[in-house]
Formats: sequence, structure tokens, C-alpha cells
Amino acid sequence: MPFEVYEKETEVDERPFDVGRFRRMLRYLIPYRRRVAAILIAILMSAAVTLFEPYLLGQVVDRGITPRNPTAITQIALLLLGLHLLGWIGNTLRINWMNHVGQSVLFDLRQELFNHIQKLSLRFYDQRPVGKIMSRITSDVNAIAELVNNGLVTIIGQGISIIGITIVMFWLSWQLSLLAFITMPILAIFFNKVRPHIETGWKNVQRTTSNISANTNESVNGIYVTQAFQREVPNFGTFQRLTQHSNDAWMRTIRIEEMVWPVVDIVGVGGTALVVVAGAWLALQGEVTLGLVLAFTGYLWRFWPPISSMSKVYGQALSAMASAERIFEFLDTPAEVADAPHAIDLPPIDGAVQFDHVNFRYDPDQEMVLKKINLAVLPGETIALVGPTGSGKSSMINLLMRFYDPIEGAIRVDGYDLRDVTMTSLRHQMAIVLQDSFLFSGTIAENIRYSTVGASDEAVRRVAEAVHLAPFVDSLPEGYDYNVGERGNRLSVGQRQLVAFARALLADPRVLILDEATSSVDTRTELVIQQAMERLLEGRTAFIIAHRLSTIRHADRILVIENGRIIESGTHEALLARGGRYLDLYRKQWVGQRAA
Amino acid sequence: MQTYKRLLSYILPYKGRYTLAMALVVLSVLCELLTPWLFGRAVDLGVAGGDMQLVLLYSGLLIVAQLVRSGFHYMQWIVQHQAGQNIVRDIRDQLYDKLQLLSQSFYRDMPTGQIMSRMTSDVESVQEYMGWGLLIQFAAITSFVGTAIALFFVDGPLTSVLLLPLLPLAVVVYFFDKHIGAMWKAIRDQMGQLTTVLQENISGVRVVKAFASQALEIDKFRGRNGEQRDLNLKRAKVEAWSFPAMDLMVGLIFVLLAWYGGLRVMNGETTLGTFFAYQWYLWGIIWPVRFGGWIISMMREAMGAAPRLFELLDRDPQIADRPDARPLPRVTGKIEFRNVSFAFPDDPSRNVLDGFNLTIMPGEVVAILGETGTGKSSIFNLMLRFYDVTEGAILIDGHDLREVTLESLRRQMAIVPQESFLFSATVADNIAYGHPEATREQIVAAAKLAHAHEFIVALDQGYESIVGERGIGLSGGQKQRMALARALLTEPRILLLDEATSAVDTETEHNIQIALEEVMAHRTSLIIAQRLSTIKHADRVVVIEAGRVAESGTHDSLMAHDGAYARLYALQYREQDEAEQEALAAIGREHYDDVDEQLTDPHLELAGR
Repeated sequence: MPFEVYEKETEVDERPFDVGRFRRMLRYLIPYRRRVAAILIAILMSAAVTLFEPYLLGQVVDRGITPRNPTAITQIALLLLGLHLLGWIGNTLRINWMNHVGQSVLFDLRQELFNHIQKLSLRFYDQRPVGKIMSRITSDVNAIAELVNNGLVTIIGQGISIIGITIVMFWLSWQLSLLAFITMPILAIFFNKVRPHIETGWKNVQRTTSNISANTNESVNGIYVTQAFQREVPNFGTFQRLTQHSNDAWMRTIRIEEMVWPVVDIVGVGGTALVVVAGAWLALQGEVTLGLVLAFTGYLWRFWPPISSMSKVYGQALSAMASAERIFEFLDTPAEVADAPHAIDLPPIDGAVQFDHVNFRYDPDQEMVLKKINLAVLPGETIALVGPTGSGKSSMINLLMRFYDPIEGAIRVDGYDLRDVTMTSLRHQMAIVLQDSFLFSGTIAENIRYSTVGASDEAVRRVAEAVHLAPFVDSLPEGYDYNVGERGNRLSVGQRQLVAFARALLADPRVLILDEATSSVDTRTELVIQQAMERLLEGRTAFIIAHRLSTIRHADRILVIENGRIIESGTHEALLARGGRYLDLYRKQWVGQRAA
Repeated sequence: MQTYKRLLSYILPYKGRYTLAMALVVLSVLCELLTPWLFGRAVDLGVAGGDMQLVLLYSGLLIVAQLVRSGFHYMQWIVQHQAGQNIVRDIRDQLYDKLQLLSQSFYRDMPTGQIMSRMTSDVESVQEYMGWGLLIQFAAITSFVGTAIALFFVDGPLTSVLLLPLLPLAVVVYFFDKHIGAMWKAIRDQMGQLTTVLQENISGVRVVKAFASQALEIDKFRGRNGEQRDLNLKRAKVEAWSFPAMDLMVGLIFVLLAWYGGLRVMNGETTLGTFFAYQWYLWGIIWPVRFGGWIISMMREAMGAAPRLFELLDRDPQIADRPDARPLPRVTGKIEFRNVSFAFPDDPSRNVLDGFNLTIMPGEVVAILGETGTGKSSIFNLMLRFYDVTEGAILIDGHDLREVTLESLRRQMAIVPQESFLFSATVADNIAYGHPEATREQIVAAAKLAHAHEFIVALDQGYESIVGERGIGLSGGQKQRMALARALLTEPRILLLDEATSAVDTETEHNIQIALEEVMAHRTSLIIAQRLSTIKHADRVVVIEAGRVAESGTHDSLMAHDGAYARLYALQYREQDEAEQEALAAIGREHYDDVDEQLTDPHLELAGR
């Protein structure tokens, strides 16, 4: 894993703050707008404390201490106590509700993202390492949740405090207020200046995090090869570079972000000092009372901490914005292959398959990998695809399963264009056994049942017997409840293939696709399956890709594919008699086979 | 506590930084205390005393104090973040290092998603505390204690009364701390499960799509996602009951200030300036309490995550060099299996190999045949010492594998595994995976031997094309050929081919076999194959049944023996013979002769070796 394949960090992005993206983030609150409204009220309750406390303390001076009235002092103190109790209730409600909203939004966002990527086409997955996709669903979503969970309360709560305090301050003395806020524009300029740096900074941090995630996932999956080839040391070097990069990206961002707080504090104290000076002067002139100056400075003192906290949230919000961009990028990736609006459910099919002038390529700048493929398959026919690696066999299968759509032409099943039917109804009538048989962690039974949830034990056993998996399963003490481990790694590769085969058969598909389905199965078992094949395929249309021509000899029709074209087509005998490419392949193989 | 201590031990390499950061914290807290004092002086001496000059002086000092404080503050955070980040990097690197050492048996049990969640979100939880919480915690304690002490000097009696609510506060904190830890642990553990479901889903996307089981997958994920939400809500509930209670206790301090403080001022026991200064001073007590709950929560989260990291770090690789392990000298390639039994550690009752005996001479090419699941791949895993034998011993050139270093052992072997894994890297890097210093010529030569060169040069960027997870898709056969090239490039003394050409088309397979003949002449080779065609160059065929050698010998001797091999041969060629007859009939004598010419009497060849 050389370092170069990892995502690079970006330059500072000077685009203005993306209000649209921010609004889109806020939209996730809409389902909880009632809760949010209730939270607002709760916040108001706690804000009351912040708002009235300095005033009441000022009153202690003006009504209690100065006129030497102990009863007033006690009364005001009791009032203050009531206020704090109110604040306590407000806080309890707020935190409860806010967490509820925050966790719900997190749940929704994560689920939406997950649901969406389920719809995305294989191309999406082909281009992205597993670890990177995961990183968006875990760590990027967390960054947004963090903002909703803590940030939002801070923004709303402190925002209310700030507004309230501002009003009170203006009400107390508008001259002093204006003076106090004279330093505000400095902050505005400062915030504007640092925003792009912080936002880009967090984006880069997320990138480096997702690089680490991608590398970890790959390292774990490739550990066998790594250990076999003694690559631990260089791999560690790559990983260290990635963590160091992450470290650097983080520090670059934090160096700027951490400037926000001190700057806010300095500006705040500057304003306060101005007010003290001016207030003292006004008090000396007798224009205002001492109590007012004290109350005013008291408010001013409470005015800046919320701004400070909000400036903390500012960093969090920018980090969330950076993550939101990455999340929305996924959400906005359209499913390239999706159900058309007019798509109907494919009725039960007979299994006639037609490729009608199909052109296909994976990349626009690539040569066509399938060129004007024409093929009509009758229901129940068994079609074998042969040809060198990379000739287009797997691409045909990918199109038939509608993992991709053709560039030109159409594929029809029982006369229905695949693009006119829903994918679920289509794929429920097809089944595929892939070269790499991926199993999920869980029991053998669960894996077989993956294609048909709710199938009876009897049905599971029947397909296991059909593919000759049953003798092995019966030899296990746990039987069908044997846990196959992640990816099925507690089974041998051949056993995995058999489970995958059973899984496909259980679906009772009308169209069955076998892509080197028994390449790792031992000869005897393969032969047992071969012999059973006629029965297994009865009434189904089948497409078989196999390198060993002996396994496809009995196919109804053999297609020789080369360079994206069908160059020969016919039965085994006919093709041999024709003396073309098939004979050539057959002969070479024969040499190989007989040579043993 | 053990966990906490161990977490803190990561600070040691950065103790200088942490000390600096803490010194800065103390300084900035002092400045913080200075600000209200200056403020109080400005009010008491300046405003109340009607002295504008003093007002100006103290206001000016106020700004200076703030500048200094902000400066300290900034430096403190930068130092702290840097140290925290370094610690996190250290933990991540250690984890990765450990992951590479851990044996295959570990990977058999541990889902990738669990590893991923530890390397990412658990580490992030620790990072938050180490790079953030820890210093805030220190600052909070310093501020709290410092302020309290300062206040006792300002007005002892008033302060004593004001701090009374701290007693019930301590009770709340105690109960909060007691409950929140377990909840965080549950959340972190569940996150691991959620990540596992996610990881499997994405890795298995083809199967998910092929069986249109998105709905099932969505349900599966929704379950985990919902659990995560519910656990977090449970945690939030504890917070929701504790945090406001803590806040209330702090609020009571203000109530007492208004009441008792007011009375004291009125009675002339303290000054008005003190009364006001208390408003500001008290923030030094209030914010630590307000943040307190949050800091505790953060600390407990880190302590919920840390054991998951330590658990990985504490795993001992089951396969490791013995203390007295010697490097294995360059071997001739004699391999002996002496009465080897093997069962997977997680399935000890089921012997995969059972009394397995086999001796392979240097330079021999041995084919291993056997049914699916009879332990063929396990033989290779044992030879590479991915697992240790349960009984018996494996010797190479007379050295027990357990007595030599892993590195020297594995360096002399190369395997083409059954499932070819390629890394996200260029074709050239992948081929040179086991021999990173290889020149381009060597790489190309290996690729040519494996018959991979032709398709590689046809790729858009040739040897520089990126393959693997993020690269272009290769077919199974192409991947296998690259894996073969990768193995050949290391020039191993012992070559292990585990169905190395199962996905390669027959024509290419045939060509590869011809190329391999020369390669194998100089080294010991073991070939696992299903297809007899793949093993035609073998000197000897070993048939395995139920974890033992059932038969061993040359093709001819085994055919004569008329046992398992002969049956297998018959099975595989019965159809072939039929085909031959058909072909004969279909294509006529003329073509058949062409075929015949290419047959160089392989039986004799095999027998003669």
C-alpha cells in the first residue's frame, strides 16, 4: 500500500459559507420541530436565571444594602432561589429533550445514509474502499450529531441569553450599550477571515481519518498475505505516515480554531473596560446610579461568555459543515441503476432472456467491453459462456443481474426490458453463485437462508443435499448451526462455494447464474453436482461460466466470447465440428487435461 | 483505576509538554483571578471613590491582564492538543503494530468491524479526553481550588457559607460518576457491533444486491442503529438528571451570596466592592462545576473505550518467535511432517489433520489432492507457521519450525493463496509486495512467468495501474496470475501453490504450467489442486483423506495401486473419454491428429521423473 493511493488534503477553500448546506443540516430537525419548540421554552426557563440574576443582585444593593433593609435582601434572595429552581426544571427538561432530538437525528441520518448506499450501484462500491464508506457513516455522522447534541443547545441557549442580555443592557443604558458593542465589528472581520481555514481544516482531518480507516480495513483483510510475505515493517511505515498526517492536519486546524476563543475574550474585556471607564465617568457626573453601572457591567460580564461558548461551537459547526459536505456527497450520488418511476413488478417469468444489440462499457473513456451483443435464450435453456479472462463474460452477467445498465440496446426477460421492472422483483427470480463466495457471519443455515428468509429447515436441508454440502454439515456437531465466521472464514473455500450454491438454489430462481461456481470444489463433489445439475437446472434458464470445458459440455448452447463479441455459438459437438476457436480452446485444454 | 493509570502512562513521553501546559493553566487561572480583582478595585477605588485616574489605571490593567491570559490560554491549548494528538497517534500505531503481529487464529474470531471501530471511534474517544478533557479537568480543579482559597482570604465567613452547597453537590457527582461509566462501556461495545454489521454489509454488497436483500440488511442495521440510540438515551437520562442538579447547587451559591453577602455588606462586615467582586470570583467555582459533569462523562467515555484498545494491545500473538529462536539458514527444502495433528484453536475437538506423516525431499514437486475440507490448506498454514501443530512437529531441513524465527522461515517460502488478495496499489507494487526492492526488470520477468505480463501491458497505465479496493477491477484469473507473479518474484526456496490457477482459463493455465516447470526445478514445491491437469508436473501425488495421507506415490504407482487416486482419475476422465470419443466423431481424424501431436506421452514423463 504505497502512500500515494490515499486521498490528498485540499487547499484552503475560499468559497463563502454554504448557507444551503447549513439549512439542509437543519432540515433534519423538522420531524422534531415540536420537541425543538418545547426545548426553546425550557431554554427560556434556564435563561431567566442568566437574565435576572445580575439584576436581582443589583437590586440587593439598591433596595437592600443602600437603604439598609434586611427584609428586602431576604425577599430578593428568595426570589433568586425560585429563579434557580425554575432554571433547574428547565435544564432537566432541556437536556432530556435535547438528547432525544440529538440521538434521533443521529439515528435518522445514519439510517438514511445506510439506506441510501444500499440503493447505490456497484460502480459506487467499485470506486471506494470499504473503510472510506464506513468512515462517512460513523465518524462524519458523529461530527454532525455532536453539533446537534451540544452545539445546538449552546447556540439556542446562549443565543437567547445574548439577545436577552442585549435588550436588558439597552434598557438600562443605551449609551453604555453602544459603547460596549463598539468592538464587535472586529470580531465579525476575524470570524470571516478564519472560517475558510477552519472549515477546510476539518475537511482535511476527516479525510485523513478516512484514510486511516481505509488502510486499517485493507490491512486486516490482507493480513494473510502481509504475514506470508513479511511485509509488516513497510506496512507499518505507511500507517505511521497516515497517522502522522492526521496528526498534522488536526494541529493545523486546531491552531487556527483555538485562536477564536482568546480573541473573543480580548475583544470582550476591551469592551468591558470601555464601559467601566465611561460608566464611572457617568456615575461621577450623577447621570446614572452606581447600582446601574454595576448591574450593567454585570450583564456585560455575562454577555461575553456566551459569545465565547458560541465561538467554540463555531468550530464544531464548521467541522460539522465539512462532514455534512461529505455526507451529502453520498446522499446526492444518484443510484445509477434504480427503479424507473413507471417500473412494474416483474410477474413470475418463464425465463426467456434476450440481449438486444447491447453495447456496454464501465467508463465513458473506455472501449466498449460488450459490442452489439445479440442473444436470445429460451426458457429452460442452459447457456455456457467461454472465453479468455476479460472477454466480457462477467460483464454480461453484471448486465443480466442489472448491476449495471447497458449503454445501448436492451436486455429483456420474458419480453420485459429490465429497466421497466423493479429490481427486487427481478432479482428475486434470479440467483447467482459468484466466483468469490461471500458469506455473512452467522450459521450455515442462516447463510443458506439469506436468499429466502423464512424457508423451512426441510428446504434448507434439501438444497444442502443437492449441492453435496449435507455430508459435511452432518459431520459437524453443531450441524446447520455451525458458525461460519466472518466471510465464512471458518470454512474452506470449497465449502464456502457449496454454501453459496445452496443459497442460490434455495431461492428457486427462474434464472440461475453460475460464475465459476465450483472452481474450488473437489473433483468428486463437483462431479456429484454435475450429475445432479440436470435436475437442478430443470425448468430454469441457466448461464454458466466455467474455464473447464468438461463442465459445460452438456450445455444446450455454448457461446465463445472474445473481445466483447459472441464469436461462436452452438452445441459442444457443433462447435467442435466447426473447427474454430472453440476447438482451439478445447484442444489446448485437452492437452492439459490428458497430460496428467 | 487500572485503566485510568494505564491511559495516563501514555503521557510519560510527553511529560514535558504536559507540565508546560499545566503551568500555563495555573498562570491563566491566576490571570483569571486577577481580572475580577482589578475589576473590583476599579469599582471600589475608582467608581465609588470618584477617582477617574484609578478607573483608567485599573481598566488598562484589566486589558493587559486579559491579553496575558489569552496568550497563556492559547499556548496552553496548543501544547495540550499536540500532546493529546501525539498520544493518540502512539496508541494507533501501537494497535496497528500489534494487529500485524497477531496470528491468524485471532483474525478467525475477531470481526473486522470490531477492529475498525477500535482503531477509529474508540481511539477518538480517548483522544477527546487526552487532548481536551484532561487539561480542562486540571484547569477546573485548579480554578476551583484556587478560587476557593483566594475567597477565604478575601472574606472567610462569607466564603464558608457560600460553599455549603458543595456538600450536596459532592453527593450528586458521586452518583453520577458511579453510573455513567457502565453506560459508556455499553455504548462503546455496541458501537463495535454496529460497525461490524456495517463492515459486513459493505464488503458483501454484491451478494446483498444479487439477492435483493436490501430490506433485510436495512432491518439488520436499523436494529443496531436503534440499540446505539437507546443506549445513548439511557446515558443521556443520567446526565439529564445530574447536570441540572449540579447547576442548581451552584445556583444556591448565588442565592446565599445575595442573602448572606447582602446582609454582611449592610452590616458593614464587608465592602460593596467585595460583594461585587464575589460575583466574578464565583465564576472560578461555577464553571468547574458546570463543566465538571461533562468532564466526568468524557473521562468515563475514554475509560469505556480504553479497555477495548488495551484488550487488543494485550493480546499475545499465539505464534511468535521463541526467546531462543534462531534464524533458519538458507534451506535446501526438505520438509518433514512428523505425526502432525492439528485442530483450530476455536474448535479443538475437531482434528483437521490427524497423525499426518509426510517427507518431501529437496527440489521435489508434490501435489496434494483431497476433498473439500480435508485439511489441504491447513498444511500450508502450518508450514508458514500461521498456526502451530497441536501434536507432532514439522521440520524443514531438520529444523523444527517452532525453533526458528518467523521472519527467516517465511522469507524462504512463498504462497499463492486460494483467494488472491491484492492491495490498493499499483500492479508493480503488488507484484513486488514480498520483495519491495525489486527492479522493474525483475517484476516484469515474474509477471511474464506467471503469464500476467500480456494483460498488464494492455491496461491503461500498464504496471502503474492501481488495482485492489480502489483500483480497476480485475477478473479472478488475472488476480491469481498477479498473486503468482508476486510469489515467484521472492525466489522462494519452497513454493506453495494453493489452487493457484483455479480461475485461470485453461489455455493460460497450460502455458503457466510450462513456465512453472523451470521455476520448480530449483525448489521444493507443493501444489494443491482439484484438477489433475494442474498437477501434471508433480513428481509425487499425495492424496489426503480425513486428515491423513491416504496414498502417496507417482501417477503410475498410484494408478497401479488402484485406490483413491485411481478412482479420482477415473471420475475425472470418464467424462473426458466420452468427450474424446465425441470429439473424434465430430471433428474427424484430421483434427484429432493435431491434438495428438501435442501429447508428448505425459504418463511416461510423469513416471520417468
